[in-house]
Amino acid sequence: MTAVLEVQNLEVSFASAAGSIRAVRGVSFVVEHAETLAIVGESGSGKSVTALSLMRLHNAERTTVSGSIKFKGTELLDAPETQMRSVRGNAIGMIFQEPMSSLNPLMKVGDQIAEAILLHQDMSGSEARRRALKLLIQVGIADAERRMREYPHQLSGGMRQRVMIAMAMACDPEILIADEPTTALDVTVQAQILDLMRELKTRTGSSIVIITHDLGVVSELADRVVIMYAGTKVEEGLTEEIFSHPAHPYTLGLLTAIPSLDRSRHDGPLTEIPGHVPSPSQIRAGCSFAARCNRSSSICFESEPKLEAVAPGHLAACHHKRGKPFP
Amino acid sequence: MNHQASPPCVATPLRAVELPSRPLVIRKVLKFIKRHPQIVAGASILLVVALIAVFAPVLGTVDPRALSVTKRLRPPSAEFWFGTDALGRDLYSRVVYGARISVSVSISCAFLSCLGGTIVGMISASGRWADSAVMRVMDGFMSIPSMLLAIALMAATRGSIGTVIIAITVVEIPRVARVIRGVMLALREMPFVEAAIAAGSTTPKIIIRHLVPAVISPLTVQATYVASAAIIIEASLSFIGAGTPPTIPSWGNIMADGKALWQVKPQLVFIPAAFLGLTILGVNLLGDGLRDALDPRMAERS
Amino acid sequence: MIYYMFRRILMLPPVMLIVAFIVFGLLYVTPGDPAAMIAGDQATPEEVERIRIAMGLDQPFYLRFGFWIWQLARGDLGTSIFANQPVAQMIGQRIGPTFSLLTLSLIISVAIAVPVGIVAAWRKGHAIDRIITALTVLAFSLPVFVVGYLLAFSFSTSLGWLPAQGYVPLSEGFGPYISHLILPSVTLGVSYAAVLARTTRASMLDVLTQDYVRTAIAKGAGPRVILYKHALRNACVPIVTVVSIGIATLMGGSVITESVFSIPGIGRLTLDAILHRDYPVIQGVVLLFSASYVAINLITDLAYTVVDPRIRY
Repeated sequence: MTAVLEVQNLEVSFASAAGSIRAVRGVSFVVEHAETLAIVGESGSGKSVTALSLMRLHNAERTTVSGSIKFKGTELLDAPETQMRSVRGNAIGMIFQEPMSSLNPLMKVGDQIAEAILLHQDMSGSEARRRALKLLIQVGIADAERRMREYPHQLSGGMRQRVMIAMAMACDPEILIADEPTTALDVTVQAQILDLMRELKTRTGSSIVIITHDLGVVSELADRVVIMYAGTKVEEGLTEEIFSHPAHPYTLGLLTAIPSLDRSRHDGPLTEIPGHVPSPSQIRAGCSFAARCNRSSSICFESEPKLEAVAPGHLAACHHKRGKPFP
Repeated sequence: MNHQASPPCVATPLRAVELPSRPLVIRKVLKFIKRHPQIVAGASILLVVALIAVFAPVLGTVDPRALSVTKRLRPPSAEFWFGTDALGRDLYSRVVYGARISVSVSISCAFLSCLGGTIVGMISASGRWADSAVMRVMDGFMSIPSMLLAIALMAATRGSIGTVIIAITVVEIPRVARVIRGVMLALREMPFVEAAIAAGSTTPKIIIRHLVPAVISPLTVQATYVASAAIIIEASLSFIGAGTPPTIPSWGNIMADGKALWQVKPQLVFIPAAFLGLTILGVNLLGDGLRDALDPRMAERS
Repeated sequence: MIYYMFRRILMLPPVMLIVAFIVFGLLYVTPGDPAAMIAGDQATPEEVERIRIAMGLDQPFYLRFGFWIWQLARGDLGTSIFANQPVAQMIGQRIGPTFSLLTLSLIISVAIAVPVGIVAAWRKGHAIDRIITALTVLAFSLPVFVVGYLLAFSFSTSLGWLPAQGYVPLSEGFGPYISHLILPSVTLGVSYAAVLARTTRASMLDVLTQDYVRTAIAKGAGPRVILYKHALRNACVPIVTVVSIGIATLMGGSVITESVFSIPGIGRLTLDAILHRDYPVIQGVVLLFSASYVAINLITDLAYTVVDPRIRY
């Protein structure tokens, strides 16, 4: 069975006053049917840029995208714009980080959901609104009938994100892309939204690509994980595998940096990864993580490590990955 | 075992030092022109106009007020480069001297309204009570269409250039005041002002060190807008006979004189009009360019 | 929402009072004897005295002001010194042409400027945007009367397509009515339209970078839906603001336009009044325009509550 989404060697650069900036430098991954893939990284890793490229949401004039993005076998990167429009919101849905600014403040919530339906399906306005109401109930909004007629600013953050989810799922997409959906929400609301997404996943069978920097979210929701750093993929594998046997020093750094309730004051300060993420203009030869890495050696600064298997289905790009002897 | 390696002196090979192809100063100037074409264009136009105004007597002109009954309505010729008007006056000289009015009025009005507007704006931002009182009055002024307010002011006084300048200044102060007030109010909220107060900085010091720099760039931009408006209002007032007294040539005056015969002698109207339009364009270009340069946020949008 | 409307309407009288005070007070703050000023340099002392009494300038300021406000409240705008007619009546006779001019100008300007601004925003950075931006700067730099003569020269004197002067009331036929009004209306509206197009462009650009536009694209919306349903609706508020505030420019410019095109409206009345130093007429005209302007701005303010639900709730 063809994978739902197949990304190969994706490269995204932005034109800027300082020249061309390579935000994503050759990223490849696959999303299978009914699978949840998490793309993890810090800010500046290129994960959001990758997500936006999946539906070609970038500003065409300042952005150069190359590589291949195949949705169920169809190449998206050179598809005509009209074809993209029929895919967006229809076969692929997307939700964003800031639900307040992502909803049109002057349109009623119900109308915005109905629009998502009417853009792709032929039906009357009232029928679309009925469907919208059903969707609102499905995403767990109480008193949905009243909420339909309200405006975004009258809803709470969690409710707005539910509305975004309803809009994205309106046409039963095969794949839902979620760009940091819980980052802007309170912790308790985060949990509710994650529950909702899990429930939708089982009910509709759609795949999910979730972009996040929060490893807690990853462990809750994702089947597989892709770790990105400075525009490239540095590790990939099943969630349990990554969490229990991280191969790349960066992944290990992320995991050990998570504070745990079991720690006491006497365990010392929280571990952090020294240094900071290089900006795209600072990329040099060799491994981009080398300067911050405690395993690095001279080879790390000379040649960029390739992705190699550490275990079946588990890839890492490191000259000193766990499991491989030191040369 | 594992050891920490420091990044070696990497990668970039030594490049031969390139000698600049032109002297550094010229390169810098060209770069400036490329990045700020509007400022350069505007400033150049204004420079030319200002030079015309300053050097009017030596630019081949005669007395702009000299009448000549016998030489009325002549077309352009070697003697009268733009021809003569209905009273036999040399159009070229009148237009050249007319630049003086536009230049002096725009500069004076810009300066005075910025001064007045800053004072009013600062008073307004100084306290809640002062703010509502002053802003209410400013609202009153801004409720009167500027041209009409200027006309009313001119009608209530004896016409002279000084009166025109005052009239335009009064009309433009509310707008400048509003901008300054906005800047002041925003600044008051800013953390660094609170920090300065907490550190024991006295009020005059705060004003000079923090407030003045913040005010300078919006003020400069406003000054250009006022200058532009001043030229337009002066010309319009003169055109309808409520501005510069007819004894002193100003571009608006000249057009007013040519109004009756414009269809047969269009140059009487269009030559001063061209000068007027070009000058205003210069001020506007300069203002736009300054605004883009000084406020990068807005420049991105434009 | 009613609360908000009520509060805005309540702000009306104080502002108008201040306007009246300003217009009234202008005569007094300027140096010199107001009566002598109005009478002119050639007047005899008796004429100056006559004017002084006619305008009540012999009475104390506050009395005069109070009386004047009382008059205004009754709709009496004073009496013209020169024509010896009630000002209100003189204005009433000439209001038709000016109103037609202003209205047509407003309609033409908005109808042209807003779409132009939208196009410039949508095609930002392309040739069409640069051309539009250059044209707006140019249009904004030409005083009304310069534009007037340019247009009159091109379309009337040279091409002979349209008349360059006069006014034909609607009662005498729609064709002549419009043909006489086109050149003046376009003239009056050029500078205003330039500002409007610029504001539209800036506002649309601002809105087009908002997140909800990205969401609309992610839903599969095409350019027309995005521009009109999402962007324009949200860009409306600044645009409507400028439409409303710019009406002051139209009002001021109408005086000049009527001069260029010989239209017998309020502007002409004002020009004659300037010539004859007929201050009561000028006062009356300025007051009328200001009151209309304030009223229009109030209506626009109230209209915002309809457009933007965030103000409402």
